[in-house]
Amino acid sequence: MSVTIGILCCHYTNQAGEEDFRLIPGTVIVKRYPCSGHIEVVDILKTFEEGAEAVLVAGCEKESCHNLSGSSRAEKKVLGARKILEEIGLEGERVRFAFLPRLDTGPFMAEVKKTFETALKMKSKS
Amino acid sequence: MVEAGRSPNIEILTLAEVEELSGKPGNFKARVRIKPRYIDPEKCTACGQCMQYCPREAVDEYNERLDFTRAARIDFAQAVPTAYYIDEERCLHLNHETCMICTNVCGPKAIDFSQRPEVRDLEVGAVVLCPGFGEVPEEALEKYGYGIYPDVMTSLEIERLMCVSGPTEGEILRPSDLSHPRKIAFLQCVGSRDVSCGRPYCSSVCCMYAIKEASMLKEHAPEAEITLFFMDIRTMGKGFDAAFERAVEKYGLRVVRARIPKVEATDGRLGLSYVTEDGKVHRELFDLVVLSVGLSAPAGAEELARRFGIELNPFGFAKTSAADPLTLKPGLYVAGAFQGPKDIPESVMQASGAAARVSELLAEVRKQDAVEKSFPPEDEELLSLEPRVGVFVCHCGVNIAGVIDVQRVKDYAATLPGVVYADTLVYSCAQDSLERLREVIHEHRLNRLVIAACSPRTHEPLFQETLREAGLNLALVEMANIRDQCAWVHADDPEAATRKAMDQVRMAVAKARRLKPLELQKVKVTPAALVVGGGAAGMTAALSIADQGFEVHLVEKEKELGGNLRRVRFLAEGENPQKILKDLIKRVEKHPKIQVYTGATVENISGYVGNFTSTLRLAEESKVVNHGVVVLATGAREHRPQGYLYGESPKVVTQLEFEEKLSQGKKGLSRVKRVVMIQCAGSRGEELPYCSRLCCQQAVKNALKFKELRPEGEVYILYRDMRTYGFYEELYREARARGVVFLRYQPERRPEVVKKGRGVRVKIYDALLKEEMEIPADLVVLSVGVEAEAENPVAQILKTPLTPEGFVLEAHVKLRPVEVAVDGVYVCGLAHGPKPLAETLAQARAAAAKAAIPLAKGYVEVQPIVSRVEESKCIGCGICVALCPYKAIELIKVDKRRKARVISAACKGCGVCGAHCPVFAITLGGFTDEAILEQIRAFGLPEAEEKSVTEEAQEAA
Repeated sequence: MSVTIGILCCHYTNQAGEEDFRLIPGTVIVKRYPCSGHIEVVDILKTFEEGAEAVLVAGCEKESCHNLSGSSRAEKKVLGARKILEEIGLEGERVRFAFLPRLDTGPFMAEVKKTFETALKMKSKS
Repeated sequence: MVEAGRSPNIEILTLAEVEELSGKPGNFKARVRIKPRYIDPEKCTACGQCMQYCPREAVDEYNERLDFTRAARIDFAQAVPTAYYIDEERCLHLNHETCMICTNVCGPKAIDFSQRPEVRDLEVGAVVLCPGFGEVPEEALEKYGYGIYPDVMTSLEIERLMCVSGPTEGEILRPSDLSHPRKIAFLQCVGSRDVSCGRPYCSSVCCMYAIKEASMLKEHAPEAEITLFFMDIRTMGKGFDAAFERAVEKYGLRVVRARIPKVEATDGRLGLSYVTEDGKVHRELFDLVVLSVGLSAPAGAEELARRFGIELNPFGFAKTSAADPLTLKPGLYVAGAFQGPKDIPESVMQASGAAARVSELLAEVRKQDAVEKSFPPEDEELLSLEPRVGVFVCHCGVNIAGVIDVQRVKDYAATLPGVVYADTLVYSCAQDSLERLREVIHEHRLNRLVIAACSPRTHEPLFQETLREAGLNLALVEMANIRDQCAWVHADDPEAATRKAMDQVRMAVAKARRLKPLELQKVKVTPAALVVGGGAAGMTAALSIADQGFEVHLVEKEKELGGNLRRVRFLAEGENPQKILKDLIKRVEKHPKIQVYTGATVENISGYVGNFTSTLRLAEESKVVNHGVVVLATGAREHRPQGYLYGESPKVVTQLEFEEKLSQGKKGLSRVKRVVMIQCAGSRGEELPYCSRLCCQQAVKNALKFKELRPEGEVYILYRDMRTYGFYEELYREARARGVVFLRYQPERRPEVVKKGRGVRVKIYDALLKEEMEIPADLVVLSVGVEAEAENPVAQILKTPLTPEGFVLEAHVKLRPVEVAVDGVYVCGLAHGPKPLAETLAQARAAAAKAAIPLAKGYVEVQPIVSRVEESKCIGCGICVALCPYKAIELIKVDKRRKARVISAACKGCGVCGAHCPVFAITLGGFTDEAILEQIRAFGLPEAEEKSVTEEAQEAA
């Protein structure tokens, strides 16, 4: 049983590479964007279509987004995606947003782990 | 350190600070405040009871805060003075008036809480400031995660971690989970070459120490993978490039050229992201990150500057000039890292140079108030007894005791024939152990000593002196090297190592029983010096020796004085080299004690330390001079490279030729708009294998000068590593700010100079573009490096060893950097190796200081381990004369027969002559055939037989 998670993140939140994700015992789909504000609801849903059990959207901390409100926009998109998931009968907690310090892979990886735990929980339920 | 502690002419004041300095050069009054130690160093035997019982823990600053110690402590076992002290801030009694346990446990009653700060006024003639360097502030380290992630450590902490007397006894453990790190990264330039923390200069030493630490880490933990991240690899010292390459190859170290911006932690490991030269981004995880921290100005430098009234440079180091790098102001001198970041050999050189400065100032009162060490007469009666051997087995901390069962070796030694006493010592070289040796010699009437410890090369003189103090002849000690030759190399097999140590001790005892006393000789010294070479180094050395009050003969082969400095037009420091040169020449020519011979060569030098006789060839005549010492300042020359169209096109010149053009101002450069400089042309692996140390700063200096004359002109500098070390880094930064373009090339794809039409073009492969570029140049300037003269006749006459590159080899890189293996011969300047002017001048003074030692003493003491020729056996074949590397054997006529005679003062006791003598006429003092054969026999002697011999001996007794 392989578990897949999706990560949509702003380019500036982390520098995690293959070596970091090796610690996650499943498949990780990573999509990087120049700013998390660019992430649309449909991008999130597409990631579920690709097989992700849970999706993490990560953006910079509110005051440090250098497009000023990029990460706040992304947070709203996540709420939107959550609504749609619930409408079609999936758990809203499958998608979550995290404000992360810029270029610090440590906290980012902690969030990735949390997302993976959620994914495991979802998988075992279904 | 021990040597300084034992000299009767040096008084060491610890825990002391100079509060005030008044008076004038030659007659200063220094007010010194001495903080209480609370333990009387005269009484303290360094037994360690106080520390063992002290209930108050304290952070161990000596171990870089990685461990705990006690309020009553000694920082390390070899400390001088070898006495404990009590930490005022931590001690329970001093802070809360309780405890006092240490006063009760201290055997010799050395603890004295009644001590108060003492203020002493000292009368001194001169002051030398050597406060060393300070630490990089924590803020500068924080961005690399230091203090946030436990596994980010500084290089100093790693140094303690690797030390056998350190917190982990030499085991490499990472602090977070005490596991063995598998992947280790070294980050260079932390707290140096970094404008953001106010330290834009290069610390000069970190590249080299990082490679040393990485090599040692590999020795401690062979499974570790080590990566080093460099910007430029600055291993510019003499022989450093070769050492670097050897280490990389031997230990399989990975070298990456990248600057790491930050360190982050993920899941117990540390992540590093970096961009390599081809523009690719990489990310890698490591278990341990080592920050190669730079050297900062010492803490409290401003306060020091205020008290002494000296100037500091913008970074808090002492400000000195290139013309006189050791003087702060008259009577006040500086040495070491306070003058600027530098490594040990250079610090030692500067220290000797500062000593020369002081001797010049105080030449008139030399020897006044000096104490000469005297020894009791030798105890004839004790000598006449049967050999009574005392064996001391040294723990050397854990160096030996960590592997070898010292107790067993000692017990075994006690059973050997002739041994009347055996004991163990924790550090036999420590002051208190030597004291104990003397006591035991008297108590047990020992007349032979065996020290089973480390190498006689480093420590035998110490024990010999101890023997003399105890009234024994110095030759009656034998060392068994159970550290280097046993404990270190057999660390993995303690049982076998212990048995081998026993073998070594048995052999040493066998030899010790055959040891005979040797005579100490004194030879008078001719109080004059011969300085060969009239360049900047030679003139400075001559002036210094003459100012110290001795006659100097200065020989220059050219028609005028000045050497290479005559061709230098600008200095990186901004001073005018021609003015420095003129001053030097003027002072040399006017000095009554200096005899200058220009257009002269040295034809022959005979004799030995204290008594040299040289023949000088002048224009028309030859002249014979007598002198006690020789200073080699024979210089070197600008290298002439093959290729690069040098000599074929007028548009290709060397840096010195370019400098000449620059000095003529704009008219010399009327059509020059674009200058391309090629670094390491001919150096570092091409024709010259080594780095010439000074070309990078020379190139940057000339580039800036060109920009000054022609701000619209373009300068390209093609380099391998920019080695603008120390404060020269500022020039490099300025050059980049002024628009000089720096392009790095790969050593395997060196730039080429090609002709195109009437002009020249430089081809270079750019790693980032991944293609070859062609730069049309109006002028190509080659940084050609420094080359030793193909022949160094003076060095050949003196038989001084040379490096493979042709530079004069020093006796010991760190301990004796200006002395040569031949006694009474010293070296400085370019003859020793490439270096810029300021370093040359400091080194010339260092050579002068060392050369003045035998001159001032008036005699030299001859080492007793010398060859002796038995005249009746000698057949006068002369093999020994030809073989002697030190010119210490001559042939004389005795009753019309040729006989060899050893000049004891020049003999180094290498034994080559004795080994080759066809009739066994030569024996080496301390290494007689008889003693050596006995030693070999003892090796073959099975242990059982050894025992039966002892029993028989006992029965017989």
